[in-house]
Amino acid sequence: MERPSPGPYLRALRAALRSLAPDRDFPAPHELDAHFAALDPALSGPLLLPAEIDPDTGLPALAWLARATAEAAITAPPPAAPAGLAARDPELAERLSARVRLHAYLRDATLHPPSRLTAQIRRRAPTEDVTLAADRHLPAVGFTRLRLDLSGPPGWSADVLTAARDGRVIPTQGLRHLLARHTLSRLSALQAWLTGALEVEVPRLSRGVIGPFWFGEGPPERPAPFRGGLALHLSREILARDVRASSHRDPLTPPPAAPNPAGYGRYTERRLAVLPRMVAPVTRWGRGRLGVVVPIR
Amino acid sequence: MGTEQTRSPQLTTARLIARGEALTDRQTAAVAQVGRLVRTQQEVSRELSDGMGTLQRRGADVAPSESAGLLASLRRTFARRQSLLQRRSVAEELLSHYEVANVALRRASAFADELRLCAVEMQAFVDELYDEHAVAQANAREAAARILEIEAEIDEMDEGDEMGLDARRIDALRFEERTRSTAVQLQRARAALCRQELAPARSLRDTVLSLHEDMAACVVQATASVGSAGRRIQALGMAADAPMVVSELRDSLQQLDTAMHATTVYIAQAQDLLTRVLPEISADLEARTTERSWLTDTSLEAVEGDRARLLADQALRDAAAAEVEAVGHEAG
Repeated sequence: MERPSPGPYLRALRAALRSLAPDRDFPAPHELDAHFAALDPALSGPLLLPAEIDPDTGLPALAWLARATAEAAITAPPPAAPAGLAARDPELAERLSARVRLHAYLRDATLHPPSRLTAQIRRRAPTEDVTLAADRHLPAVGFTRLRLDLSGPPGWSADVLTAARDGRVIPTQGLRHLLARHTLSRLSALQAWLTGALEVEVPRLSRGVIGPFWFGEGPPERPAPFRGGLALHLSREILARDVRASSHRDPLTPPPAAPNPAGYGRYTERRLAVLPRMVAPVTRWGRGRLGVVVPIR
Repeated sequence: MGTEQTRSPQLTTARLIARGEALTDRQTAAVAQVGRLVRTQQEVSRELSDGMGTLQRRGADVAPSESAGLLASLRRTFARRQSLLQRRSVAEELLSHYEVANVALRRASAFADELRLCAVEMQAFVDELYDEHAVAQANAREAAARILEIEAEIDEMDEGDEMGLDARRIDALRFEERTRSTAVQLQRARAALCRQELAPARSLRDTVLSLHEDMAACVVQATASVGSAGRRIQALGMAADAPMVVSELRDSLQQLDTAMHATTVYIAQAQDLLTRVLPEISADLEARTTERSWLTDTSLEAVEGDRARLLADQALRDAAAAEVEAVGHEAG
């Protein structure tokens, strides 16, 4: 795999992410943007290097992202470089200055966690409606969010959710681990399984994935319009009762073979952010089977 | 330390004593700082060792039970909610321990930089002592040369007429000679003070340098091990429950053993610094503060003609010896 220069690579990735503007079905883009900004040597100097990129997705690897997460967990203010240090030890002076800059930035930034489950109770009665969002950074896949709408009789969620003093709803460890194991399970299987196991309705399930990020020439199997350019993928699958007509707008994956559960429709799409010069050839390559192709600005 | 004071020719006994006390205070503060650093280093190292240990134990402990549970779980129907919610994801647990180990590692890395900063500052202090010693030697040499000039001038004069011009000139020269002699003594005392402070300053610098070297090596090793565990955990991904993958994870976590061993050795070495090296330096400093040998070696009693010449000769010999030593250092 090509090893890009970390700064330009991260700035291109951030620009592509901004161009695609992922919605609530995807991991929070502002957290990812903040995370990528923290990794950028323009901010953190040599502190978080070396860059490590997942060879399958072209996205920053867990080991690289985890360094920024760990720095954010350190609350003690770092010492500043004393005057004259740059002349005596320029490398140390650079590291100390970079750490001060990075921590000043991290104080106000929210980074993307490698794994997280959030819950929101949308309604208590006559049915108790809950939305769960499980975010995971998965190798060979990308930044993934599994979003589930669950609906059951009042009080059904007491086994899996607890209320914090500040009013937030905290999923139990059991639920967190349960969904962590099934972030990539087939949505139709997950729907049937959750309905049976938790005895609730699951009117909507979605999985949004940010990634892969293609750059450089890539492997030979990569479609020709993408070679030598940049492309960030955004793919989404929705299985929901309110999807009336199923459609599949992703030329890179085959349509699901299994039938939809009764009363559900399925929508899949792939959006792409590419270099401006690639928009026309990629759109042609998609032959109307792609979601949206936007230029990276 | 003010450069102005270091280079000022108007050195007085009070200033010299104050300077001696300032240097001792600085050394004492440095010893205390190193003590704090060593204690922090012990905490950081233990935290790092614990983080890696937990990561390794969880990798080793979870694997067999989870793999067995998984095989069993493949045969089980997920009919009961409690059963479902009690199962744990191997990857999720390891990820959480990996995060803890990573925080410990970043803290250790930041601390290694603090140690390096401390070593650089102590080296600056050592440089300062060398500079001040050189200035004191130069001042002493200059004053000594002037004493010899004065002696030569007096020898050529006639002291016969008590109120004559030569007598008056000789009187003025004698006064200047005594003043210069005092200056030689003070500058020699200052040089002795610098020499005396140099040994503990070097010792402290080397102590911190060793701490930094060991910590840096420890961080490098731990970074490689934790990074390797992280890559393996990420590679697990959703396949975390596959027995074969869990077994591979266990193998990779064995690498943490080496890093943890290095950290344990490091903690033991740091303990030696705390219990032996630092108290020795501290006791040495305390003894020297009481003795003020640099001052008593060059007593500031009244200086008369012959003694002034002797002092001047001694100062010039000291300066010559220092130059020879400096040339030797450069050649070496």
